[in-house]
Amino acid sequence: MNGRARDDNGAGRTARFALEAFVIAAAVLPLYLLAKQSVSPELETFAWPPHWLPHRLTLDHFLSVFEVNELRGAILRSLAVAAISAAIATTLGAMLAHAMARSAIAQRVGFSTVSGIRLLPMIAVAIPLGTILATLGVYDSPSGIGLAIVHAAIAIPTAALTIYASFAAIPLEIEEAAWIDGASPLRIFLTIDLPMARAAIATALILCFILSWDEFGFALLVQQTNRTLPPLLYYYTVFGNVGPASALALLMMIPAVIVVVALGPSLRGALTAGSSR
Amino acid sequence: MHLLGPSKRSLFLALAVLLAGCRATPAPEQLNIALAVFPDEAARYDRFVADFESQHHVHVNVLAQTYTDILQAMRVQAASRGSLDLVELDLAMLGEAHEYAQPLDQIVSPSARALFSNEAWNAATIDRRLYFIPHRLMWQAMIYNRVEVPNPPATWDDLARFAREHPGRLAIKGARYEGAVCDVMPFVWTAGGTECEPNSPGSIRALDFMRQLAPDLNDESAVFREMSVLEAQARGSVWIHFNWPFAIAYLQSKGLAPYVNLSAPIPAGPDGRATPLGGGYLAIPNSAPHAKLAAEFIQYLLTADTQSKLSRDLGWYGTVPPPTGTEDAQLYSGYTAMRQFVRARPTVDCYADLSDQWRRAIRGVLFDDAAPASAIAASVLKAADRCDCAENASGEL
Amino acid sequence: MNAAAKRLRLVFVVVPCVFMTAMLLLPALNGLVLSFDRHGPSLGNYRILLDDSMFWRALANNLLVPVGSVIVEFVLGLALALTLTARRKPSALIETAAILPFAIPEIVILTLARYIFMPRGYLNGTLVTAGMHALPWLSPRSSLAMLTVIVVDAWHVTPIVMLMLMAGLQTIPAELYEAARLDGAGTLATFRYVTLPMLRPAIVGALILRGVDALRIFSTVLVLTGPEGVPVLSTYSYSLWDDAQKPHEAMAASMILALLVTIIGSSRLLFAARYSRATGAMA
Repeated sequence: MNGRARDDNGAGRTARFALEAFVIAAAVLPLYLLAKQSVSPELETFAWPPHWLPHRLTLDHFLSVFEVNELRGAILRSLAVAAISAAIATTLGAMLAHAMARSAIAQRVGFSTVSGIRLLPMIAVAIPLGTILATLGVYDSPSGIGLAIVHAAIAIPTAALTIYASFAAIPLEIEEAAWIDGASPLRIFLTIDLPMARAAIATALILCFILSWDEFGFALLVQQTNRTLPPLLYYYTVFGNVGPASALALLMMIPAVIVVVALGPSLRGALTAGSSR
Repeated sequence: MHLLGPSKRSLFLALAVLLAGCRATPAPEQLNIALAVFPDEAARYDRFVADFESQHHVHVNVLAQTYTDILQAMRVQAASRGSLDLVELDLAMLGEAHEYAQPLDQIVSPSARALFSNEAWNAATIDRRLYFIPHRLMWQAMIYNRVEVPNPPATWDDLARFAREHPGRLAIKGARYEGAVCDVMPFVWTAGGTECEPNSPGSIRALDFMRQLAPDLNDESAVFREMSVLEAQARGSVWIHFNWPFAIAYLQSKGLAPYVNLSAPIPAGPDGRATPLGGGYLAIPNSAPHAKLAAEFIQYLLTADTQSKLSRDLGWYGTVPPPTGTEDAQLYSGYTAMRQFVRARPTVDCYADLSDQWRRAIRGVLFDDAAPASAIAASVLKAADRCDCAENASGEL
Repeated sequence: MNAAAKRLRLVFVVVPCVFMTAMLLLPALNGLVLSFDRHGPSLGNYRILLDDSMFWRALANNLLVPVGSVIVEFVLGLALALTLTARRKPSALIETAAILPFAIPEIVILTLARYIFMPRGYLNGTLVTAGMHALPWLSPRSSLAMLTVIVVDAWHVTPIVMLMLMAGLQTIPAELYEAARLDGAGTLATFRYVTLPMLRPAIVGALILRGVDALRIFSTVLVLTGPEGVPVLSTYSYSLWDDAQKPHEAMAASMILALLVTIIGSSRLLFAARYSRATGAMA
């Protein structure tokens, strides 16, 4: 068993169990509290000391999520922005990853650009970006297209780093064989490289989708009146609407939790390669 | 297309159909209104506009925003393009925002003018042209926990005593934003000072009083805004604070008013009582896609019937005081009592800067224990000088 | 391969890089230019910042909070990584529970944290019910608030650090542990002389990635305390833009943050480059 310390003494095991229990509790308890708040009347939620079990249940908060225009719009907008930006970022990221896998110069240029871009703080970009997007006519658009473009740009590093290893692993001989058979480099990329990197591309799509779904900073500054979900949840929370905020928070978790539970282990490598704030 | 495999081709087709579908039948004309309302208020406003929608065969899209977000969107729209036809702005922003708004003198008839007081219209008139329509006029009152504080403080001395005897129970909206000015200006005004004369004895005296209160304030005051202090009041960690009428509506919707919380007049100072006028004014932004429709909506709003309906449907206190004997009268008694002491902040185009300097001075006094004279530093005085502040008369609304 | 392939590679590099540069770097440069604009070219925006005590607090916090956050992430991440790899049978339940804080959107975690740590939140509720005193976890401008912000900020990304360290732990050959055990080394000594040194590349790699990210803290502070509670440069810049309606001053503040991140980020990258050359591993 590589890397597994064989640690059998009592104190070690107790410490381990304690930590494991803590991890499970720390993951489950907060979610329970959110769930409780989302089905409790707010009068109860404001009680002091707080109730640990709900005394009365209500569906009002979930209903308000679906009845209020702005909420429905925000859900659709978040979905659209995440889907579009993931598609663009994965496409451009795959292109970049392929070039980086095949050329040392491209690797250096790509890596420097990606590292440099990741250094930029959101606030330094978002404030001036608003003016640029306004000139393009996509600032605060109802469809969220301006934000989708921004999210695509910030997600490219994640996509590229996720896909890079798969492209690098494709043996040159396969590409060269196709080349000898008369295929153009573009055709080789589309019909040989892309399919072979299917898994990584799917992972990149998912990671970029989640990156956009969760993104708060640019969304807050670029979509001021036509909001996506994260800033909307922020406003609900700081405006003291505990019930709807909790219901909204639970709903927002759905895509990410599905992905993690379903894909679990295979995400490990991808997460560590492509993480960014 | 031959490069794509069969599955990719069908995906491409599906996308094409989807996109085409998005540009399908022409929708009814749409009016986009950005209001500073809470989402549940937005839902009620949606229902309120149903009449207008059916009369004019249009769809009114109500967007719930914050005032600063709306101002920013308005600026962007004035510079290039945008989708907003009507926006609601805070009184404090009118001076700055008028250059992004269209003049409305033609739209407002004399009978419409009669709906609001001169003070309200004056605040909306800049360089002798009318740019804004009063939409929802508000002022502040004191919100207090009647269970913990059966006798709310009525004077400065009462307030100081309350703070001393119950440390951490009095809150001021002390975040670095306009709300801090709204909380402290009444004290400045009732001591005889004004925002345009930061150095006057009245201003200094008021700031001295705030400094006296400072150690006993709820320590979250440094970050409190309208909604966060309201949530603290709802949760019972704050017993007295100052807020707009929606505070009562919020507490009522949570079942906490009138049973736990009520409104009361702001404590009187040496020079009497005062409360800041605030609230929303409507404007038609420059480059509004449906300016004509927006004008029609404004004319629809400016009738006595519609105004009553608006108050009723939205539960907004302001235009008409609630009839005596009703629960609303009890809930809003503090606001009704303050009605005659309302005072507007100066609608000058440099107000933002003047206010920003005041905020820093206020925070210096409240949280850094700065002496008022030094807190009213060169920067506040310079801002007041730069500003061509006109005196605002207080008066009946 | 040949010219056609080179052309394709050129396009494949240029298009994404130009896109990223145009959408992200150019606005930042525009912001840099505008930060020197105060009714004409001037240093005025920066001078005003220097006169503001909240700016200095934001600058100090922007160094203290990320350092604290990284420390917490690594201590916790390492503890979790060791725990999970020490199990003979990997547990999907525990691994999922450990990754969950990262899977959940950050704004949701922050909403939760706010309801837990607020003055009348669940944590104080527990303390009071147990007969103890409530604590001011988020009291503006207090050290306790800074600690709370550090812990909550670290919480969301601890799973990443844990995963990176787990990957590193799994490369340690079992023989080394056997040898240590035969030599009579206890748990602590094994950890110090076997685990830690072998883990160094993973730790360095994670530090480089996480260290710079932590500097860009924004939403944690905004949701938990508001911009005035535990100011950091990004929230300070945001409040200049939103509350004060002073975009050029906001850009000046954001440029100072960008400078900070660039300095610390570049030195990390240099360090990484030197380190990887020394060990022969790919950074």
